[in-house]
Amino acid sequence: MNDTSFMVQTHVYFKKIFRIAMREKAWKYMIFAAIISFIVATITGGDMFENYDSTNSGFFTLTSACIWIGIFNSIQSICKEHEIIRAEYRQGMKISAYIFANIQWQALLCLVQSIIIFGISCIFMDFSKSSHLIVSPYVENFVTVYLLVFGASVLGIMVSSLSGTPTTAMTIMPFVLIIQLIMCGVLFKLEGFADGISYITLSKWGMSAFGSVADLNSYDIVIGDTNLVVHAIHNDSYDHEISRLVIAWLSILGITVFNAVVSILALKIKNRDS
Amino acid sequence: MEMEKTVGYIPNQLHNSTLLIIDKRCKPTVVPLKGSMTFGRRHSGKLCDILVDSVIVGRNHGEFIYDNNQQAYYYIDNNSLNGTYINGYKLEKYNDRGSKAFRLNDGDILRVDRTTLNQPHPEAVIMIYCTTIRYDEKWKVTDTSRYANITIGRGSNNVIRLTDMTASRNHAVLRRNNSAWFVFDNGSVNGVSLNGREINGNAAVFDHDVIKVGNTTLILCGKLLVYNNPGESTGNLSVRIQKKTVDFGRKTLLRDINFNVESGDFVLILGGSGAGKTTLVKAILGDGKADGRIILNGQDLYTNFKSMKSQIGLVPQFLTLRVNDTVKNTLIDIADIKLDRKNYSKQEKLQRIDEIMNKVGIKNLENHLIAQLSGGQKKKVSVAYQLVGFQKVFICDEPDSGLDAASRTQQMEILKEISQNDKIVMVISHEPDDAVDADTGRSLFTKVVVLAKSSRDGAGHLAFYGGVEQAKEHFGVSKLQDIMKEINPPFEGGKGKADYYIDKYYSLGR
Repeated sequence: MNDTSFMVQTHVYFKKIFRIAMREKAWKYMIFAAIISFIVATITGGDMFENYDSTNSGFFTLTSACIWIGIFNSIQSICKEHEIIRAEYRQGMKISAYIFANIQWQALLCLVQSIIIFGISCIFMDFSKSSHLIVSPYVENFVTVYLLVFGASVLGIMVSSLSGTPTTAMTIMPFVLIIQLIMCGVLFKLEGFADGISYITLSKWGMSAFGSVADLNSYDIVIGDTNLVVHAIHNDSYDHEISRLVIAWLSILGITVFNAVVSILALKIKNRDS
Repeated sequence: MEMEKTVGYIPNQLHNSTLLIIDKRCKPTVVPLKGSMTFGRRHSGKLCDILVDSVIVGRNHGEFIYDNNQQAYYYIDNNSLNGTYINGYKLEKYNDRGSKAFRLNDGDILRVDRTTLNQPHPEAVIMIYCTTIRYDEKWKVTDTSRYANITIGRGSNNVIRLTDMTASRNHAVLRRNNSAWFVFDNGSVNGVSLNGREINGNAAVFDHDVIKVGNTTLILCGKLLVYNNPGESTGNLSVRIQKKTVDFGRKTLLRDINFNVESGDFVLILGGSGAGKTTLVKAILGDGKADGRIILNGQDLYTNFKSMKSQIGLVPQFLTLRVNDTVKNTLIDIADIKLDRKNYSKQEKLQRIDEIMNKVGIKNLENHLIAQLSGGQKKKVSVAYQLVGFQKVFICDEPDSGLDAASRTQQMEILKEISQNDKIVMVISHEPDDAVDADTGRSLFTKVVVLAKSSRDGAGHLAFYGGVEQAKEHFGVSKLQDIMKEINPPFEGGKGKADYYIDKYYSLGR
């Protein structure tokens, strides 16, 4: 037996999602990304690449902004359509195609948002102060921004797939964000179980990618107003090495793939009787 | 238990069950099964009910046994010398009486043959148990020796051209490789099965193998290919629900719901709140499976859910379409999902969508966003959306809710017209008396299902199933709507006679 193929259905759903997004004023996501990145960049950008704390905080804020923007893109995208999905699944829709089409749309949306975020960030943050690992610090930081926004949007798809209603999804969203912020290892030193959990967060790997490109370990810490300078404690995650950067990127991609698979399974389980 | 006896109201499975027999002459014979019947070789002594001329079939080879309780046929091999194979597996001796009983399902293939099934005995006999093949079905024969490839499908270029709508345009091809035959599924919508099992791409076909292409049965018999061409199936739907429970069996929502709907029927489902209308609809859809069986064209929905679910469409009470898309795009997208490119060109899909929009009366709205439509127009789009596929059954949950009287009538007329195209349309409605023929003033419905909540067990029971006029007579009312007053409890403004009508219906022997 051969229904319409996965590729055909993905194409159908992508066109539909794109068409509807245009009608639902998808540009508001761009405005949203521009406003957030402007606020973040103006506040943190001035001191970036001056010392460890300001650079670390700047990247942490940028990472948080990327994750926030990404999740916000998609947090309601699936849960608002559960009844439609149930009806269409009965008609022969492949859930994997539907989720993949949503991911494709998010990939496109996130690309534009990432250009906006990074473009605005570049005005206030001098990324040229970093030395490159693979291509140039601009490209490497842009790729990190894009992977973070995209990964977070797929995380949003997962939360949305698991949630029964938009209200539930919006209730869960702050918890997901808090976990991402706490587990990145910037605010608190993580040990034991918490450290283990941090390996499945986008924020940890986002910080690792930014930190390794910027060679964060080479920065000094300025203590209060004393002008005393001490060398930052070495953090392996920020090693200025290509392998460190590639591992960080691949980890974000791995988490993203995992979230996509969970989304598909969640919808299949929800609709197993349909 | 008395309630179980009422099952007899349904036209029994045995009325529909037939046995398609292919013997050494390769001539198909369809034998109607009428209760328990014996099967054996024609000889001079005491004869069995079903006779075949074959030296390898015993004089009293086996028995078809009808179980009234299960309403199903079983087969037992009477420890015959050559035994009986069912779907390729030999029935083993169980005791001195014979083999274990094998419960027969539509399409099961019984075969009396030698052990090497791929090289059948010249006098081998095939019997196919069917609930979908009619007694008077016409059978055709094609001489395979004339072809290297035998194409099968609805397209005019096929060697075997089918009119069955479940067959794809270029559904399958039988390809000869030296002396062997192989069947290839051309990526068909409904697949190809060989000896009761769906094939994956292609499979070798041996003499006496049975191929199913949609509703069409093909049997390779020596050099001949024997097949029927049932056309668009004139199906029926049998609902046999013993009970439907929730809360881990603690609460029973439905009990003893048994009725049989023929294609072309336009069925009204009536019932007060809590009588189980939605539960019944879900059970028929397979969404909330009940204890029992839903049989569509002889196939059990619950056991074949994945392949059959798309044959039953639901027009829900509330819109389940994306409102920020246009009517036409919505229909095109579902056509792209339901109808694969190999069998339906873009032009054919657009043509079908145009036909549906014209039929449902929304052609002028094709470029409107669904969000811009009125409630009635949205309902029409929902109906059109379901029509894009080739569903056999449509269940409409209050398709007339929120509409004015004229729109309600128009909506029902559309649904009636759909049912007249050999479909089954079942409707839950609270305004059934608006569904009348403008010329004759008669109800558009052909059947009425009345569910009533019994005060004895709190479950929904069948209080009536039959024609519209009989329903009015049964409840002593002049309007269908008044049936609700009879069965609803007093606190809902009714007369609280649900138990009385349930008993009355059962007392009729139904």
